[in-house]
Amino acid sequence: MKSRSEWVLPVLTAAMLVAALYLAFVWAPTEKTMGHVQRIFYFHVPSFFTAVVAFLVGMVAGIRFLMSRDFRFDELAVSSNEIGVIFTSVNLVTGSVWAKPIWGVWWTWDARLTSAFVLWLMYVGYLILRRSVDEPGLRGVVAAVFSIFAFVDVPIVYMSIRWWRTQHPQPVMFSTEGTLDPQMCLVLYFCLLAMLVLYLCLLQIRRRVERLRHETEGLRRLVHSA
Amino acid sequence: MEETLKWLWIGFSCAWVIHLLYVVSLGRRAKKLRDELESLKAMVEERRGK
Amino acid sequence: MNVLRAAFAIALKDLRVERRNREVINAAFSFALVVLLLFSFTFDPSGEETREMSGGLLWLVFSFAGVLVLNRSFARETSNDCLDALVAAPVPGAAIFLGKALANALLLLVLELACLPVFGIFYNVRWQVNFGWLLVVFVLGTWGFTVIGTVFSALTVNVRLRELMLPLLVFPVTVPALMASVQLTTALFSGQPIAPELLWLRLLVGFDLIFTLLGVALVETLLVG
Repeated sequence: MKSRSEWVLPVLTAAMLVAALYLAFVWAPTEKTMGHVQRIFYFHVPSFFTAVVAFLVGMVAGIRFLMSRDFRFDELAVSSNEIGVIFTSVNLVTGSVWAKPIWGVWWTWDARLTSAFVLWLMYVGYLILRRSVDEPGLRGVVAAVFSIFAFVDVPIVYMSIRWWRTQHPQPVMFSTEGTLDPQMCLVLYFCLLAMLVLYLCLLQIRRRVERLRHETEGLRRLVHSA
Repeated sequence: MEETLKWLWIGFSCAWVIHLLYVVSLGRRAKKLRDELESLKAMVEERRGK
Repeated sequence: MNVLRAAFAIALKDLRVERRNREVINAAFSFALVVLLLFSFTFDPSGEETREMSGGLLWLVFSFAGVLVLNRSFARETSNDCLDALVAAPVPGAAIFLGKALANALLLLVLELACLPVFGIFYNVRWQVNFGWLLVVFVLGTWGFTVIGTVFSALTVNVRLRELMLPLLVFPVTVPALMASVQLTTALFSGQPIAPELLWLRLLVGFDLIFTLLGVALVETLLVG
């Protein structure tokens, strides 16, 4: 029974991704000024939201770990944050590829891009921090405390960078800002849902790996200490 | 139109290549851990036998 | 009150140690000079546009030197198990954290005030014009930086590659405080009044408050483990 329920999420994810592809590439209307490349938004924007959700879950799991010292929460925290880094990477790369034909440059230090980059750096730091602590209990505590600081910092970083950029010249962001076509909106929401399901699916796999790693680590200690 | 389609294609494939690589890396990590777990269990068994 | 008194005692202890062996301040000040020298190669130091980036330059120097100070803050206590003794002492963790942060902030402020005239000479910046406000900005910016830095210094004290991890973690998180300080400092250097930049001052105060509270709340778990 267990093996069957394990397949529910991957199958659902695959189905939703195929549907999302169809909606984004075929069903959604082509944007007038930007052309087809605008369709990348259906993956770019949801990736960012999913990443923020993943980091939020990671922080809450970290707090739960601090309160209970139950390693299942630590496993959930690291899994969620790592997947968050993956989604942020997708967001950065797709944003960059979109910027090239529209703005003519791969990168501009605009508020959203810069905040996403800072976010990415913080959580890459989180992953590196985890790798440089050997003792599992200490690692959990250190990582959880850092993730709380990082997540609390996110809105402050975004606000400050936005103020910073309003004082400096920047390229125009959206030609269609404010008036998003309802059909486009629908596709965007569906893609967001698909990305969230993909997140859950990845989380399921990643947690299993982390569980395995935890077991191996415990046994390794046992063998080497005896 | 053709030009923007090309960029869409590039961005789209980059996104899915990242996800794909991540899943593959997870699989490899799991395999490595499973192997190590096996060998560790064998070592524990061996010690118990002695 | 008790917490504050304990915090002052710990800050005093740290400052006294520093006064006796000058372990950090000399190295950090020399390093700041090195960074000031290196910057002169990246652009024309006598140009007019120097003034526009002067705040950024100065805060980069401060944060690079600041990391050196922070690195030693908890690492200093590892020899002879001083940290264990400190944690076992009948003071709350919050007092240890606040005391250490205070000592770090004071050290860094001394460093900054020593760098300022040198910076003024090297880069032809008039820093005297708005000195009162500049001091306020320095105190707030330094506190924001050291609060984060002190928590992360405690965080990384038992971590491999401690000296590498600290800047990697501190810089991204302190981005808002650094940006606000840069913005304010640049404005003050160019002789502008503080009024149009009050938004940044408020951001800085908010940042300091939020992360001081967060540090006080979390440091106990961090130190006891």
